[in-house]
Amino acid sequence: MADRMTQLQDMINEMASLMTNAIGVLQATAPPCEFGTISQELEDEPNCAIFAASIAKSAKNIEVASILIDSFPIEAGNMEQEVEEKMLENNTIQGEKVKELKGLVVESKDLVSIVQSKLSEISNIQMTSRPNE
Amino acid sequence: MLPGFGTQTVSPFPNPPEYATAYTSDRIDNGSAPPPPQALTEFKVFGEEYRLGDDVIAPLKDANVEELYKNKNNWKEEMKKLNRSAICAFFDLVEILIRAPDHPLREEKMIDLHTIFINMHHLINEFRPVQARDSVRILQERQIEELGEICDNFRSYLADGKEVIEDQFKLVTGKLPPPPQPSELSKVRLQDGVLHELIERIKISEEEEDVEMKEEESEETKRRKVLEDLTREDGPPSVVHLLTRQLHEFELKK
Repeated sequence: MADRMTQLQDMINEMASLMTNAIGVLQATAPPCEFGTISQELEDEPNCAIFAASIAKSAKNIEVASILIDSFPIEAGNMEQEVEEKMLENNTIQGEKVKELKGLVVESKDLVSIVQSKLSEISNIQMTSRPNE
Repeated sequence: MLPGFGTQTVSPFPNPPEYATAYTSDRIDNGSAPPPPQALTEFKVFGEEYRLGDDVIAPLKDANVEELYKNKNNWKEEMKKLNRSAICAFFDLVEILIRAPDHPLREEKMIDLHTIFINMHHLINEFRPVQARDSVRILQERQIEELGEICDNFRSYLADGKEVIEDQFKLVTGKLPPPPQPSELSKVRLQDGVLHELIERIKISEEEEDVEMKEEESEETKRRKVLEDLTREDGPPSVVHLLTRQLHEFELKK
C-alpha cells in the first residue's frame, strides 16, 4: 500500500497508459473498412467498449481520490514554520531523554559493580573458610 | 605495502585528497589547521546531478511546460479541472484520428494531453516536501516516545535490583536484637562491654608497658572507675568478680 500521493500519481499514470493503449490496440487490431460506411464487424469490436469503460472508470477514480486526499495534505500547505518549530522542539526533548537514559545507565553500572564486588568477596570468604586438609 | 601520497600505486581505493595533508595532529593541537573545506552544493551521485541551491520542486517553466492551473491553493478544483480536460483532450484526439489522421491538429492535441498530465503530476509533487517534513516530525515523536518507554522500564528494573541488594545488605550488616534483660528475681545484672575492657587490660599487661603507659594512663583511670562501679559488693557475684580474680593473678605473676 503506497502512500496517498503515490497512489494518486499511479492512477494518473494508469489513465494515461489506458488512453495510449486504447488507441494503439484499436488501430493495430482494426479490421479493414470501407470509406463512408461503418461495417458490422467494426460495430462489434469489443475492445472499444472495454477501453472506453476503463478510461471512464479511471477518470472517476482520480476525481474521487483527489477529494479524499485533499482533505489531509492541503491543510499542511501553509504550516511550514510551525512544523519546523515543532521539529526543533522535538530535537531538544529527545536530547533530554537521551541524557536521562545515560544517567540511568551509569547508575546501573554502579549497581552491577557493587554486586560483582560483593560476589567476589563472598566467594573469597567461602574459599578461605574451607577446612584445611 | 602502503601506497605513497601523490603516486597512485596499485590499490583498489583512491588516495585521500591533497588537502588532507594540511591536517596533521600537531597542527590541529596548535589550532593552525585550516577550517574544514566547504560542503559542495552541486555534485553528482551515481550519475545523477544534485543542485542543493535550487528549489525542491523545480517549477514547470524550467521544463518548458506551460502552467495550466491558475490558483495553486484550490488544489481540489484544479485537479478536477485537469482531470476533465484530460478526458476532453482525449475525445478530441480520437475525433481527429477518425476524421483526418494527418491533420496537424493531431500533434497539437497530443501535446495538450501531454501538458495536462505533466501538470497533474506537478500539482502532486508540490506536496512532496510537505509530506517529507511531516514524516520527519512524526518519526521524531515516535523516537521520543520509545525513549521514554525505555527510560521508564529501565528505572523500574533498577529500582527492583536496588531493593534486592539492599535487602541482602540488611541481612548481613543488620544488628542483632539486644539480649533479653534478666528478670528482677534473679538479681543478675547485665554489664556492657566489661569483658572487652578486661581483655584489653590483659593485653596491655602482657605487652611492653613503657611506651603505652603514658597514653593509657588517662584511659586506665577511666577503666578503673568502670571496674570499681561494676565490682561493688552489693549485688550477686558477676562476671567482673570472676575476671578480676584472674586479673589479680596476672598482676601477681609479674
